[in-house]
Amino acid sequence: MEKARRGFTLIEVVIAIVLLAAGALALAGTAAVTARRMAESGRRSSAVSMARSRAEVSMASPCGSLASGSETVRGVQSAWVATLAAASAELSQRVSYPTSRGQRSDDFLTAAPCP
Amino acid sequence: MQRNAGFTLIEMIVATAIAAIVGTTLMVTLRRQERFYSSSAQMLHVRAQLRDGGDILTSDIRGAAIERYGLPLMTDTAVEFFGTIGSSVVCETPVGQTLFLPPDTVSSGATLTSLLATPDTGDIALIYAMRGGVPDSAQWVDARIAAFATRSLSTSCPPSTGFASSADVAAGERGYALTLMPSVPTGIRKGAPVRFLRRGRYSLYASSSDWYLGYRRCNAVGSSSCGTIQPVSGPYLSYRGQESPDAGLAFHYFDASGAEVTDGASSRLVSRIDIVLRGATAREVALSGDARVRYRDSAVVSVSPRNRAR
Repeated sequence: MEKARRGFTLIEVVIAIVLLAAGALALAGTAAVTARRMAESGRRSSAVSMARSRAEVSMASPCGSLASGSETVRGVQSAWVATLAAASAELSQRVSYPTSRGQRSDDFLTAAPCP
Repeated sequence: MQRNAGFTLIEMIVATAIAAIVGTTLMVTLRRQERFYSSSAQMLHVRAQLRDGGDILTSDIRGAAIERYGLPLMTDTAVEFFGTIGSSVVCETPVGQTLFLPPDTVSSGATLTSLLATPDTGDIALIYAMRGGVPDSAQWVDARIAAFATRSLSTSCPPSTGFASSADVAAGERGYALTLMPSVPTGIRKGAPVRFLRRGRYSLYASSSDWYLGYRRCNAVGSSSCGTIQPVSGPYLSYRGQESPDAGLAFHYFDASGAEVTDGASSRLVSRIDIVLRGATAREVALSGDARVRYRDSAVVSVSPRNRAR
């Protein structure tokens, strides 16, 4: 009876506190994951914006002067191929950027009329 | 007897010391965590503002009527143009000063009238007209708007025109009456497309200590005279010269060959505008570890107006 009503020993309480702290400290690790995700989403949106701008630049120039090419800006590689048809031009682009799970790439296809 | 004994002083001191160390570490971690999340919120806000400004400018510049009106003002940090605020079709070959337009939604599901903003007397209507009655002579003609109002369907765009149906009349849809000044251009036929243009100016401006992208509506004709500025997005970095790496907003204008256009007289040749937006957090933020820096980001967007000289 005496034994059953006994409270926690000091050692038990200390161990409990340390365990709690270890759990709470694991929270700190989430910051690193969040930071990495944010950096990735930043690169991804610059990649999309670069592709959009490239399509606009191509549309601004006469169809005859469209050319294929590539560039690397802010860690984002982009490569584009221009294809000319009778009355239109097509620009197919691939932008790729590093993520925690390796290189990722997005493809874009833009068509523009040739007056 | 031994079982009922309390803790010794040494035990208490050791336990308190451990609790204190653990507590302090916890506090430091939680504080750092809190700082990280508020810092990232500020950083994401900067990015969102850059995206916002770029999206608004590109969508508006894309629809600008540059071939016809050019850019009345083109500087390193301000651009003025005639932007498209809506489009429609003419229901009936006009008799008199007023053109009638179909309602926004008709029962057939077609969108014949689409207005981003309601046109008024300060705007311009561009109408595709056949001068001389020859289809090949068709061209866009412009006129100032004297009045624009909704009107009951049966007296504006009745079912007999073919654009609306009796179901639309029964549903209480309303068409539009567009009155032009000084007169209705000749050659406007039933079904002619109409576009509404509004002259406006985007520029970087300071409000208290922050810099914003602002929009001002301007007069439809004559030399520039614009209304009060309204904030569109921001804050961005402050005004600097176009070439400065710290300029909050910079415009660069190019013609079809890719050569920079700097002379306002050649603004009709502009076929691409490059926009640079730069922003920074209001305060220093800690994104990794304890190092505090002012987070900066920038966006470079190119836009090619669709209605340009070719």
